Amino acid sequence: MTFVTLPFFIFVAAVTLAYFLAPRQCRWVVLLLGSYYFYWTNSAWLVLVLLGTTWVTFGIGLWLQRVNDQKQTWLKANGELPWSEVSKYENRINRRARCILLLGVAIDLGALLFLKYFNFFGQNINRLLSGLGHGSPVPVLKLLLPLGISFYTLQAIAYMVDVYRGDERADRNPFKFMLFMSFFPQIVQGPIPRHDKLAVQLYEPHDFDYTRMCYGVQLMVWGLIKKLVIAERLAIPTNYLFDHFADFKGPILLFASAMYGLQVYTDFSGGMDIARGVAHILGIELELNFTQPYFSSSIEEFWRRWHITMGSWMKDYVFYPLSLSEPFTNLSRKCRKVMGKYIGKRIPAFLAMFIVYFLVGFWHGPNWKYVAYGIWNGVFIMSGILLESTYARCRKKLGIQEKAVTWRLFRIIRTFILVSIGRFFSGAADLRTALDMIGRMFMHWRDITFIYNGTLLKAGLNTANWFLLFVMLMLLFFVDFMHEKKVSFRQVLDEQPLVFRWLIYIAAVLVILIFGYYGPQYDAASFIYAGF
Amino acid sequence: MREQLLALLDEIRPDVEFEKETKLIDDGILDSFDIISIVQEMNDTFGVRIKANELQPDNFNTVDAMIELIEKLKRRA
Amino acid sequence: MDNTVKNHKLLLRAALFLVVLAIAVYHLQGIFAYDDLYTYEDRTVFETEKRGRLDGVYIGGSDVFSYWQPLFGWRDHGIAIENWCANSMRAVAVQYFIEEARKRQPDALFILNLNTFKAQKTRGLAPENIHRAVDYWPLSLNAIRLIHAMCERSDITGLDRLEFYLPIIRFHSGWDQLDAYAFGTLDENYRTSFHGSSFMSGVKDISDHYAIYDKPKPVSDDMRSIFGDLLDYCGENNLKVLFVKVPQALDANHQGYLLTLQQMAEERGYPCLDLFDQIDALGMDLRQQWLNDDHTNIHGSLTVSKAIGDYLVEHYGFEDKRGLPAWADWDASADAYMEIVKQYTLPLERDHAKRIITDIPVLNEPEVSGQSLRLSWKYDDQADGFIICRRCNSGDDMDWYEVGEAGAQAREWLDDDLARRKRYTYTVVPYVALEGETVYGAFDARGITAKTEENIG
Repeated sequence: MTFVTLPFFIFVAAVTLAYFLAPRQCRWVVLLLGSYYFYWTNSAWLVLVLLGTTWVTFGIGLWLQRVNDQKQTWLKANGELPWSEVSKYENRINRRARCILLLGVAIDLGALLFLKYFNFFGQNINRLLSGLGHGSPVPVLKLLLPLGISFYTLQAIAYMVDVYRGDERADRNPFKFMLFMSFFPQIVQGPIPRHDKLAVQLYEPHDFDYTRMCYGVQLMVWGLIKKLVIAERLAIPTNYLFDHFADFKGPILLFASAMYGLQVYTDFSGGMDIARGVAHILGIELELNFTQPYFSSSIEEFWRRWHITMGSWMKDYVFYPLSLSEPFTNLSRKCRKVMGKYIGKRIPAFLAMFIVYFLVGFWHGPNWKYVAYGIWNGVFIMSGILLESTYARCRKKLGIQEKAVTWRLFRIIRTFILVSIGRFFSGAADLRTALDMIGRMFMHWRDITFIYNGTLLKAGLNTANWFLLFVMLMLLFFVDFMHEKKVSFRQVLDEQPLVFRWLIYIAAVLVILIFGYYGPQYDAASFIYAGF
Repeated sequence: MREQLLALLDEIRPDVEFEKETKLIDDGILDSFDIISIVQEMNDTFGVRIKANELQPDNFNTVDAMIELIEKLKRRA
Repeated sequence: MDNTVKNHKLLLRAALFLVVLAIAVYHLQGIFAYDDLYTYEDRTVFETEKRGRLDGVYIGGSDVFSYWQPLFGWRDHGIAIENWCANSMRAVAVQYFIEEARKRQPDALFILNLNTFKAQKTRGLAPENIHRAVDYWPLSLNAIRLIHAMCERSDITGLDRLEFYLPIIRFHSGWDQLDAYAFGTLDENYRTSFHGSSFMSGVKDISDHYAIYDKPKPVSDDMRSIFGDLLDYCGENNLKVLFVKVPQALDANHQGYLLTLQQMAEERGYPCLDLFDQIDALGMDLRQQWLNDDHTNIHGSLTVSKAIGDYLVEHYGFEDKRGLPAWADWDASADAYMEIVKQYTLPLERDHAKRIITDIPVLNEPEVSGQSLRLSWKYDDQADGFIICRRCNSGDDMDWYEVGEAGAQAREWLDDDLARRKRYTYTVVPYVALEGETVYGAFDARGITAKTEENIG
């Protein structure tokens, strides 16, 4: 069952009821059972993969904890020993811990790499080998992905690294840990949780709070509006335009890509809102994954506002460790000597950033187009760092005020366009198609007649639906703008009189029911149906 | 040490008033690259090895916090 | 303690909110959860009709919507007979439709379209079939029984059946198809008489495959039991029932099944009005008056509605209610509807001519003898006459000049006013004369060319 189906809501209602009626000590058990039931209905026997990863991670965590404890005991007992002895011991035990960690990461990551990327690697190796005349030895396997594997793998790695670093103590209860790894609102699409933030909330019992339930439901309703009314509706013209891109030239393709970007945004953030809403009802706060990304002034800022938990995961577990690691700092020192302080200082950040964005792209899927997507973003960020001072000088020369509203607006629009071009990579069928589309976009780049010459009406939406889409996007803009200004809708609503509040809620539900795009489409055209 | 640190910080981000700010990380005044640069300079200047898991907001939100971190690391080594 | 009391009060309030929400959804889903606007209007009109006053209710599939226009029945005879149908009506549902109709019109004559039972497939129903039958019915025990009766015959189980109780949760609504009709008053809704554009101007020639077969064929056991149950139901409740078999282009098997069922009904004493072989008697045109094999267009509907109306008045003696103050709404609806219909039809005798004559005269090679030329052509459609046009093919002169006329039956024309050794190009244009105007049909724009000879001697 996915987030937008009726069985899911019945399931949530049942879990909520069971949770608050259960004795306090058992409440986490309700969540555990509910989460596994949810997982089973989605992935059936693949739940064994999740279980495998969970138990391996749990075991590795305990092992690492034991090694860390050993280290602490030893250090305390042998504090007076000379520094060389201590450092020798430390090196030895650190190396052991590192091996354990690498083992855990290898297993968890290995499962992900195998299940998700085996065929990708295989096909590329085949292509290479057959180009050299050795045929295509690597078979194509039929591999199924367990639900959320891309997310929970990162979650598991974060946990192991946190235990390794001593930031977290390992979980001692395997069943509680199973809940941490499988909590149903976030297993599907994230947000990628950290142990220190989520675990405590999961294991502690929460009491029923009416206001919290109301707010959770409000969040879910907003998420459903974004998903069912906006995202599903946007999918129709974008699918059409992407599928038939060869019939089009010029800015209409950019329009399609921008629409696709908004579709991904409303779909993903809608799903996040539903997840956060459900968790909120149960008393658990999940992290924000989106903070109005389309208001960003630069690609760098965009990635701080888009899929935030992925960004912070990369920052904490890839970017910082890499750029502060010995090889990188050594590289930086050498580069500083050769290329001067300015570039040299930035080299490790640069390289680490490139790797991060390569990984972000690659993580999205087993296709070169995703890698290109990651690199597209990475290039702009890196060039931003590199050319920082150049840009500053240009701005000064042109007399552009950094803080001016128009300048900020220009940057926002520019970022929107760049992000939308990036969307060609993630939306097109493959890399070649994406490049094709970008090329076609630049042909006749002044031709904006599609806006009024009726082309858009052939893309699957009639005038009424385009109008509705426009209105809903304005609503989305308004809500996001309010969030940007730190206005809390929940507070604003609470202050309104009851009748007004109820009208808004009823209207929201009706908007979903009436304007939502769900279920098979009916051909309402002709009343004449062929035969019996 | 405080003087050295301030000079170092000022070189990386001359536009920030480090003495006054109390939420350098939390308010997003310093971004990831600034942090990398600062950490590198700190490592070089003070001879410490700041690790990834020490990059917490608590350690870098104020100049005082940064000094505390450096002193803690020096004591350990 | 205080917190729990507060929580309880708030939960009560939440429950009240859910009730209000449910009422709002239930009412609005009637407007927004439809498959097509026409069915929705039809249901609404039937449900808002005054209880107990209709002369009859006609139950069947989408074909009934096309064959029987209630307002034609009113216009011709002052009888009030509404449709209560579903697109792709399934045999098993008919009994439930009667049950539902009886709630509002208990003493009506129930006219059952026999053609509904022609399909032998009574199992493996698709969700669409069930939706078309059941959507926008008010929730009642009968509605629930119908949903289950149809779900039994389909592969839909468990929670999936929920979508029929709340159709709006399954289908995205046709909100963008709503027009003024959905919210207008009854007389503006023309009392469910159909006004769709395809119905008004579509046409399919079924003359080449319309045939009458008179051999009954055995029906499936399931169909026999469904039909038998229906007849039992009618008998037990002492209902006045008339079966009607409307003329459709059906193959031998389907006609055979219908004949069997017709026999079953007549054996039980239920009359059946068989219109299959009445095509000529009614003066119907198989080429012009059908929309497709199963449905007439407006032109056919005029004829069939009149025929059914005539039969009903003759056999059931319904009162002519035209002009009565209590029936002013029907009068108003009929007037409004006829205004629409007039745009698409003329009195029956000239009905066909209003459409563009589609047949193009096929030109034969002209016979040249000296300086005269005999032109001939083939034409199968009905025209009131032909105009002969000619082109000289000299220089830039590409216009057609009218050079003669021929009558409706003529297929030849002689042109003997020609110069020597010249090329002439001819074409023939059919026309129809209506009151006040001549409508020209399509013609071969390339024409046919011949060259005259030298006249020696």
